[in-house]
Amino acid sequence: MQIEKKSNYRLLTSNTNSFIDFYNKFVSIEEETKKENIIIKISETINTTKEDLSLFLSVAKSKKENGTSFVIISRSVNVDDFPDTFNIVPTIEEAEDIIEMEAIERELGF
Amino acid sequence: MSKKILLNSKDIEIILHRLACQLIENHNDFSNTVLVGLQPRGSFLAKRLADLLKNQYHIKDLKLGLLDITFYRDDFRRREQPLTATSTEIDFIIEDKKVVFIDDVLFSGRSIRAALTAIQSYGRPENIELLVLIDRRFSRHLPIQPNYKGRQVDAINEEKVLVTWKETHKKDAVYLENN
Amino acid sequence: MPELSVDHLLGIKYLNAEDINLIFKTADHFKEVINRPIKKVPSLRDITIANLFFENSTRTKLSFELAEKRLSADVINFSASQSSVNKGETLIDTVNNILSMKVDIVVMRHPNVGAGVFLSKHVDAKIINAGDGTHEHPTQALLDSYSIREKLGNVKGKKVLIVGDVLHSRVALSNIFALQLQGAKIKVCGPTTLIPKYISSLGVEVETNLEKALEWCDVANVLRVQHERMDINYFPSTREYTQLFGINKTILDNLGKKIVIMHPGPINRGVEITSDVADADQSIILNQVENGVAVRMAVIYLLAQQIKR
Repeated sequence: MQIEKKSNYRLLTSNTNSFIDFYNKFVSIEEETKKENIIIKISETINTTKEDLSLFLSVAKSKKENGTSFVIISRSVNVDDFPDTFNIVPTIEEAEDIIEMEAIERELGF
Repeated sequence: MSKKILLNSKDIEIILHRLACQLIENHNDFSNTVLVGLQPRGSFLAKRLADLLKNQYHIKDLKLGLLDITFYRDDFRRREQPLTATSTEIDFIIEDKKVVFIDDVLFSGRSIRAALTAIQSYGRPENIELLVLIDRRFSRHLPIQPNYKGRQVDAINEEKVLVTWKETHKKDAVYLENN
Repeated sequence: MPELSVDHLLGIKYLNAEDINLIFKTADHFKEVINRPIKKVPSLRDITIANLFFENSTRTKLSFELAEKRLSADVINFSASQSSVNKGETLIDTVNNILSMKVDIVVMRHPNVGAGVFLSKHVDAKIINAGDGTHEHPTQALLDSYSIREKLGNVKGKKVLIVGDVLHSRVALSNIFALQLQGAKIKVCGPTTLIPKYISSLGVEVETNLEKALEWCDVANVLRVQHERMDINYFPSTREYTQLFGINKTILDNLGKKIVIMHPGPINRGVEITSDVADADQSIILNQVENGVAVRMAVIYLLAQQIKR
């Protein structure tokens, strides 16, 4: 897993071919990245399924509760299969937009 | 800044009577004519003339309206200062009626152009005439001329013609102000 | 000061009392315009406005469109259905496409709180918030206050009651901000599950008994019961809501005085108010609709005035 620190989030990119490896690596650093906004980029070569990404649902929920953002960049799943509050977008630009939009929401008290 | 009196209250009174008579000559009993004062400054002159016509010349049922032209101006978004509108009160039909626009000073003619467009929102008049107290003869930007004028003034551009009315200032007067 | 203190209309929270006064004075002029035989002024004929509605809306959209056309602006409409847009996913792209067509003003309704704020940081156009999630709906609050001013002379010192689902209502929040700026007194009334916990921090009192609340107020602004905003049942049934919080003619007639009734629409007749209340002379609901066009014309005109050629 490649970890890059950006100005207002951390970008985690998968560099293995296994989703499970990536997921486990993520879980191991979840605690230390608790207070940061996280964007996860899953490589196109991994064929991620709906079930795979559902593993992140609880992470997304707890981050929302503690006031940080969680976004997944993936093109291989159908966005409508997930709840509206679960952020899945096709590009890094859109992921950055979501980080910014959620920050504005929190500033406005929501 | 120097201020010179062009017309004093007596001059203005005589001019107002003369204008009223000229209007009566063309419009008789005003049964088919409406007066429209151009806001904000033409409204004082319009009310004065209307009062004269009603009280001294016994015109019955004279229709007087006030027209604000702010939203028809051609300098929206082109000025340093924002525009502030005044009110429009036209509670009669102008369709097929003769309209007389009344304003205090005719300068570039742009206000009149805006008024000509604005009045179309109220119907199609039979004809439109223009009455001004002061006609600044050589400062026109558009081909617009008055039908009735109080006094013609040839002022150069930096000079301002100021009209005051006793309703808001101490007396009726017209000044030429040089910056 | 004949100019707004803001560059966009994103929320009432960014306005001051002078802004509201200026908008109302300007709206007075436009109210006269929309009552003429030809209801148009040419002021905005070189301005293009895009209406971006990412949430369903018939009334607000029509009202804005009418206001824009009465100012002679060129209008383009985009409605993106919820499923094709996931949060801010294509928001900037959509707007940039529109801007490349030389659009000067964007009127946007979006399900995300703060969408307008976000847009104003990224695009070079004037933004008017036509509703962002459960946050603000500034033009509705402005037309509501304008209507109160028209009926009662002014808003200062008036007692205004907001009835219904305050928790999910951007109309309520914007109204609270606007009414406070103008010195009105505000109370809310509704099921406790639909009153937000932070309401007292806004300086607003809660009255859970409808009759007492109506006795207190000069104006009652009745909110819609919004089934689509509620994920779980916040109250047992529509019928129970109506029994406890629905306003009918009998309740109104039993008050010691005649209060003014308002509703942002669309009305669920028989739920939050009955037809005879909606149609009574103390109801200014239709005036709200007419005033909506005049107030929106005023806002658009004042913002357009800031756009340099």
